[in-house]
Amino acid sequence: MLRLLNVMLVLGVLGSGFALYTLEHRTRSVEREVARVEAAIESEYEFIGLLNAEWSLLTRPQRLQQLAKHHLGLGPVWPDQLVELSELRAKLPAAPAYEPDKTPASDDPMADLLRMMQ
Amino acid sequence: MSAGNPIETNNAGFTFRGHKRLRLVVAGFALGFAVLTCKLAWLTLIDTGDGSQSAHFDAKVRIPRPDITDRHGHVLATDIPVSSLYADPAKMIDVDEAVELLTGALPELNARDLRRKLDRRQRRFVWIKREVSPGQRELIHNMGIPGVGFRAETRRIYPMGRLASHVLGSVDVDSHGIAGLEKFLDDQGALYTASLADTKRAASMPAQTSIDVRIQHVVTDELRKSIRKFSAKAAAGIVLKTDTGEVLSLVSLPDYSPNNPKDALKNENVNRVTAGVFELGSIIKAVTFAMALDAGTATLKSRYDARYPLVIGRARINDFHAKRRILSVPEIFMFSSNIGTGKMALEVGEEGHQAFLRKMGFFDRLVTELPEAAKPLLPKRWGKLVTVTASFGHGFAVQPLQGATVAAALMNGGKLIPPTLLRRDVETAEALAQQVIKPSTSADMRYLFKLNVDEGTAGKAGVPGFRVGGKTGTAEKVVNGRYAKNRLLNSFIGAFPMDDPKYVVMIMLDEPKALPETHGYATSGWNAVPVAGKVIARIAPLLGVMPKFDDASTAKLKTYKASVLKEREKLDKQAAIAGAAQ
Repeated sequence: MLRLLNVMLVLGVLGSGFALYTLEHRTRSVEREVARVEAAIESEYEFIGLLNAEWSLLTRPQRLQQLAKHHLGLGPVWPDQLVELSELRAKLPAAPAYEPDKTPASDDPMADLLRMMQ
Repeated sequence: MSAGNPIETNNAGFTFRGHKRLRLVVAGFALGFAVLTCKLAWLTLIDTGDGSQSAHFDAKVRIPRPDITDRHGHVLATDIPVSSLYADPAKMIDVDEAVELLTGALPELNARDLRRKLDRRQRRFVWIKREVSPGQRELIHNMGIPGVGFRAETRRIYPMGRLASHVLGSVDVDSHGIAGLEKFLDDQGALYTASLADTKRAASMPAQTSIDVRIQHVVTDELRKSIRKFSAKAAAGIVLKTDTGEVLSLVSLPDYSPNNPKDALKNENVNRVTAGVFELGSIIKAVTFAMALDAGTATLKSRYDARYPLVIGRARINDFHAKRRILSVPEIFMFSSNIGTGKMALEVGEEGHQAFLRKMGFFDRLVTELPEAAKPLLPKRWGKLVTVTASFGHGFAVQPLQGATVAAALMNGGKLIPPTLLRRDVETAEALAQQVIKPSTSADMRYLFKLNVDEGTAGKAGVPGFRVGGKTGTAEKVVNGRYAKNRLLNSFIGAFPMDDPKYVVMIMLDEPKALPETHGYATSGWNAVPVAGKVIARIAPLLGVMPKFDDASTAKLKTYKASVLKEREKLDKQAAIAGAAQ
């Protein structure tokens, strides 16, 4: 009876010890993983902050104005360039007359198109 | 076995006693384990909350600072992580080698200074270089010099540079605010600053200003051009939202780069909009008109005799553009008649005049978030003459922002709203607002402002379609206690769109010079006013103001376009010449 109890207790101790060890091992590795992910998140936030700063540096209105003027030839808007959506139709230029039948038919539709554009 | 009984009894007694002891031991162990189990369960299963206290606040470390953004979230100020290189001389093995390697990696270091620093063996900590670039950090790290290490720090940077420098202020090398909003954040308490910027970036909240970077840029750009064109000493500009008191743009030139904090405290870079007081001159006439119209002593139909100078005691008040006839109230406003305005103020009386100016806040120091706020300069004694001179802006000086705030109240239906540099919604503004004049008086003021741009001295501020109104001011600066005829402080204060003014624009030029193209005039109508017109033409589309055209404005559009194109061509030519010279 007593021996059986002892054996069971010893087995119990070994079993629980093993269980505890594996559990702790797993906990440790999960903790390491959490710390790693947290550090990664933190560094991502830092990186986002850095990119935001760079975005802000690159979108300085001064710079955009220079680029728009230099590369696109854009300038400030004239007052009469602003039109309400409802009035847009009245302001649109007349659509160019497109009469496909009148264009001289040839074997090369691409050449026709180019000629039309000229 | 041979002597059975005693042994048996012995045996029996032993086992009996042994059982008892065993039970005792088992019970003891069980109790012990039970205590351990309980404690373990307590520590693991029940969260006592001790862990969360680890993110404590330590006054000695650098305070994390929040990002500062404009009203649309564009970053104006942020912290970026940097590494700083330090050394522990006591741990150094070979100083010569360390100096050689470090100067190799960081050529800007002075070898002799470095050696002197590292030779002091009793020191345990010396900075070698603050803010090392990531590349250099990697290089030094790989050298593996004993006794040398890096410390993670943050550095405050302002990606937009000079833009909004006077709003932002700047910080010193230890991240303490020394001017502007940065100082405001610190003055609210270090904990307040830190609460906006949690140490965990995820939870941090930016401090959002009321500034709009696009509008700020337009105002800066136009003011910079005007300083060059008129050889002015300085310039300032304000754009104010009339319904919330938010400052959309606050520009003071010359400015500085907040990335170089030493310049922030230089005298010539002072924030002229809040840290200086100026006599605003004729702009103040608008306040006098509002007072007289609100008190009912004058209406838009009243007439005043401006044929002769106004004589008070020994002083004679005269007009700059003297008309020598009887003027109606709108005419007094348009011709900016000192005589007429003085008479209107005299009708209200000295007491009433003072009370009205006090109600408008001109007697108090205007306090915004900016720590740089100057007290108004007021006349020491108030008499009849002071009432007359103060009615057209002589003898008392206020912050330009005060002028803009009052102008916003005259335009928005009579609600005086304290200006702010932080985001504010309409409800909050309504709660802070004070009704200072009747809505009908405000409507009359709108009429006068609009008339003055359509037909009066502020004509060059008009942009066809955008319904601009405003008042000009040309003040002679006080030099050695006297008004100097040739040193002017010119200003324009206006609003748009006049059918429901949403924005107030104020432009100031300090000592602009007369040019051939201004026909030798240096008054406000020839410099500050056209600058305001250019600013409004550029910001109105950005602010979503839709132009409306009637016959008069359509007719003006063509000449307006031609004049703008001519000016632009001239500027481009100048730029090309400047480019070629370089």
